[in-house]
This record gives sequence, C-alpha cells and structure tokens, in this order.
Amino acid sequence: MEMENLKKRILALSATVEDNVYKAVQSLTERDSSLAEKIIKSDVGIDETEVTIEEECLKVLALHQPVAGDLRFIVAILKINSDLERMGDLAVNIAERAMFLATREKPDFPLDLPLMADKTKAMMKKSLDSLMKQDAKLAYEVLTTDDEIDAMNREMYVRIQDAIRRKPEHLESLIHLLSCSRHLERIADHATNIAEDVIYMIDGVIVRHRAEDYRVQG
Amino acid sequence: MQQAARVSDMTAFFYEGRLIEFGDTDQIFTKPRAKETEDYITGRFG
Repeated sequence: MEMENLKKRILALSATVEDNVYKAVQSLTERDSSLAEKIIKSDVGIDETEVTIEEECLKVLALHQPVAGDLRFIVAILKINSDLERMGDLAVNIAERAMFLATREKPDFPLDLPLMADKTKAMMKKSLDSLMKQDAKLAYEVLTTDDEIDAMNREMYVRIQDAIRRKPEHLESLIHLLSCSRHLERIADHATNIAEDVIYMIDGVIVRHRAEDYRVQG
Repeated sequence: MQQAARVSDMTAFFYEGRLIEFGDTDQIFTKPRAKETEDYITGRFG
C-alpha cells in the first residue's frame, strides 16, 4: 500500500519537475520573465514534496524492513527523489538566467542552445518514462545519449569563447548563456542517474561508472 | 526472518519440500533469483 502511494508521489513529482524544466527553457528562448518568475516560485512545492517523500521512505524502511525488490524500490526512490529535486533547482537556475537575459539585448550568435535543450528534454522524458513504465530497456537507451549532451556542452564553451572575442560588449549575456548550457548538461546527468536507478530497481544491477560498457551495447 | 538475515552467511529457501533457492544471504535478501523467494521474503505469501 505504502509502496503504491510512494510510486504515485514520485511520479507526480517527476511530472512537476519535467514541466518546470520545459518552462525554464521556454522562458529562456522566449525571453519571458514572468514565466521565469513562476518557475522560481513553484520550486518551494518541489522542495516540500522531496522532504515528504523522503520521510515516507524512512517510515517504510523502519516499519516494514523491506527486502529484495521492495528494498531496491525504496532505495531507488530515495535516490531518484534527490535527483528530481536537484533538477528542479537547475530549472530555477535557468529561469534566473532567463530573467537576466530578458533585460539585455539578444546576442545574435548561432548558439544551438534550443537544440541542446530539446535533446536534454527528450532524455529527461525518456528516463522518467522508464521510471513510470518500469522499463529497463528504455532506461539503457538514456545512458547512451548522455555523451551527446556532454559533447554539445563542450562545443558551447568553444563557441561562447569565440563569441566573447568577437563581441566583448555582450560578455555578461554570453557568460549567462554558457551557464544555461552547463545547467542543461547537469539536468541530463541527473536524468542519467535516474535511468541508472531504474535499472537497479528492476534488474538489481548497479550500472553506474561503466559508461564504456553501454556504448558498446548501444 | 530478519534474524536469519542478520546472523547467517548462507540462506536456503525451501517451499513445500522443494529447495527453491540457495545462495549468499545478502544476495537472497537483495536480489533473489527465484520469484517464489522474492514473493516469500517480501511477505507476499507465507
């Protein structure tokens, strides 16, 4: 009973976080400060839910001493819970950058940030779907896409460096854009963590720190 | 059962006279191979 309840709560939290990340990217691309402000305010709810879920997990551990699949489920939920909360914080970080950037002139550089944002969002969706459907295969797919986002983030660094050299007057805006790229990359990392925890939950295998192995598989 | 998990190195699960699974205690209680073992130790029956 408690397990079902926890599952519902974590899925609800994941939906809210996913929505906030989407909106944070939207506030950035559409230069929408009021949307960014809404995201920043709604993070309080995410933080409160995170605490409630953790307390519920501790209660189940203390009162039922779960074993086997039930134990792996609780451990995975505890970890996914923290990842989701951090993703929510990163959405806030992006929203804060969006608020700043909305007050400045739009830098006219081809930065591909929307493309990176789309890839990150797709990755996040897939990892949360794998959690919802308890689908380890889907979770393995997430692990193979993280490298792509990491490469995009590295490329962004070079591009921003170049842009700063050419237009030093946009320095501040460009630094904020670089931070957004890093926040997206971190969101993708947390999506990877969630996928790893889903695999642990279902198969009982720890696949962390073995990136090389999935590249061969993928 | 909690006591058995704490004090033993190896665990065997018998059900209706059949040996269902035998292995290291930590493996049996974290990642049992047989579904019957899983169902029994998680309290789904028994």
